[in-house]
Amino acid sequence: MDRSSISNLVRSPAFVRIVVFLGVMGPGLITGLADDDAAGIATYSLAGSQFGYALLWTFIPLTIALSVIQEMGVRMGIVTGKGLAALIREKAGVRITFFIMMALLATNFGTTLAEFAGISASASILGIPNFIAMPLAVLFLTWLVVKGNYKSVERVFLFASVLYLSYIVSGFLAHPDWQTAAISTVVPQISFTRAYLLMLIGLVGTTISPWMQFYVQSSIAEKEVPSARLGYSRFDAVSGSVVSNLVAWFIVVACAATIFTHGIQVNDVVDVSQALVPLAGNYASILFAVGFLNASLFAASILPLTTSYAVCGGLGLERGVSKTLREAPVFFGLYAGTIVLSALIISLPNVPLLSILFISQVFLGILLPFVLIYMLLIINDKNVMGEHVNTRIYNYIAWATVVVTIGLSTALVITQFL
Amino acid sequence: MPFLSSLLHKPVKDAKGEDVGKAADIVVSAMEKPYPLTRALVVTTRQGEMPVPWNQIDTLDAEIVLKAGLRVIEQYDKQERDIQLVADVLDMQLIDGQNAMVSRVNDVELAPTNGAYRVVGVEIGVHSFLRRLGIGPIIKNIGLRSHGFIPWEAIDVGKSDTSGIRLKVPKDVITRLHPQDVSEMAQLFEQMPADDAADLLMRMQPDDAADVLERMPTDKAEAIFEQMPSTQAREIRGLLEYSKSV
Repeated sequence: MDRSSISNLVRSPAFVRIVVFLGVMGPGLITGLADDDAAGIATYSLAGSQFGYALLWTFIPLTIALSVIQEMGVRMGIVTGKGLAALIREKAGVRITFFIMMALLATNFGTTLAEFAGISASASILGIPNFIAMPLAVLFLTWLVVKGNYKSVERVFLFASVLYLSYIVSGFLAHPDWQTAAISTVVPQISFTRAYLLMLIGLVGTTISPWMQFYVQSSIAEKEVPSARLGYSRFDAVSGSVVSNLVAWFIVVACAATIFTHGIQVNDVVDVSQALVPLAGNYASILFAVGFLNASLFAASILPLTTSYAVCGGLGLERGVSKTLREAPVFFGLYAGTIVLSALIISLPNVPLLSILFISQVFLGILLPFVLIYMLLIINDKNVMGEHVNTRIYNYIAWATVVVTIGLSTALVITQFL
Repeated sequence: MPFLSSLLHKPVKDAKGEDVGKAADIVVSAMEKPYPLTRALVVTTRQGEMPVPWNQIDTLDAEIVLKAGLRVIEQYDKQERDIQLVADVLDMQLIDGQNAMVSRVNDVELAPTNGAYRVVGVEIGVHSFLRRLGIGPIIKNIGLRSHGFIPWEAIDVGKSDTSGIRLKVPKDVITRLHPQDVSEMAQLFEQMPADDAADLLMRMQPDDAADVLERMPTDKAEAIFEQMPSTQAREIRGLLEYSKSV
């Protein structure tokens, strides 16, 4: 390429738009991929291992629902420059805010425990003993956020996002039946067995979680994306939702092509990874374990960060990854406290992890309707959003999404008690 | 000593005792310093929100009674630098001189003066947060002290580009009151009932409370001391003695 063609390329509108997008990109993509966390990957692998390709159709409606909800979060963050907890406090006062803060604190803590269980499990697959993996994870996660600033932390998170490609690679290594996979994705196969419905509800519950709306909005606010870049950030939010579900799709496909096809019984991610060795080769198994470690570490940072953003936002305390420990002690204290406590609890013998996850899931199910409904109330408030309130058609889609999501998450809470 | 949060949602009745709506907000002027008078009460009626001039309020107790019917009362005419205590102050972000976030406003404190109220200051901190949650009395009984009072005088109400009003505490009043504020407060407290003044002073830093009391006539200060629990009175007296001896 000669010099003039390079300078033409650099000046071309398409090139400029890509460069602008690379600057704005981050919060949406990071939130989407962090959603494929330890619990998510466990659910997707079990869905593929137990039901083959039959549940692949759920990813299209899930992608649409997640895109709609995440887009609203991004729009609120850019237009107001505030986090969701701050907006809820201004709209609804102390009581509702306190309730939401406490429920988020509880469910995020439970989920962080699951991430540490994920770190421990994947370390053991890779042959790293727990007494080395746990302190290393705590040190790394605390150092990353306390010492880093927004930019450096975002870079690390984006790097973690790239590692999710390992799941797409292991999907290919599993040599799936592409034709069946494609048909199953567009043609819903609904069965009314109890196990199928439970898995369906579980997929929705793990894909649309309340922490995501807090995280995406707070990080957009801290990044201070100008409102002129709203279009780019919306694209970031939608692509995050698409990539998130694409990774999940590949996990289901990989497990469907191998474990389901051979009729192997699996109960957790360790089983899945071991089952992959004879079926898809050593590399697929290692890729799966590395991906799982990466996903668990990633979410073990994002979830406590979300708690910190939400609690400080609701109380109006100084917050942000770019602040120093002295400037924002509560922000970093909550973050580090959650991580240290989670690692300690997971290191104890005989931790009742299932009971903890059960309680966490119940809090999550109770929290989600409040969060989604307040989001819709705030985003339709002209005093807050000005001209950026939802259009009428968008509101139909958003309300339908919210009603269905709330219905299924309530069903999830009920199934926990059955 | 009423708090803004305790006035909200009170039923509003007209002169005939008919329900007309609920108290929703209070209008004051951002220009008026140090302690602005309440100018209008925003009432949510069936026809929407209506700002009622404060001089049209007859009594304000468990319920608010107006001097006439809603149709007869002329609506308050909003002025250039008017702010609304609920919409613009309550639950909003306070920032300090370095633009760092301090806290959100948990409540607004009002002091009665000749039929109207003056905005005395805002409350931050655990105490007022728990009161808003509805569990304040429990905490009061276990004797938790709070220093979460910021006098209105110290707050710079400005415009911000993102969220309408910006509440700035330029002086570091979270740690110590400015001498100017101390004398303004001493004047205000002199006109207040002793028990209300005592109540406010106990929620300030003891050092600041001693400074304010020092600038008041001795008989008035003594009357306020009588309204305080003995331990707190003793502590503040001790600080007063100390500053006199220096």
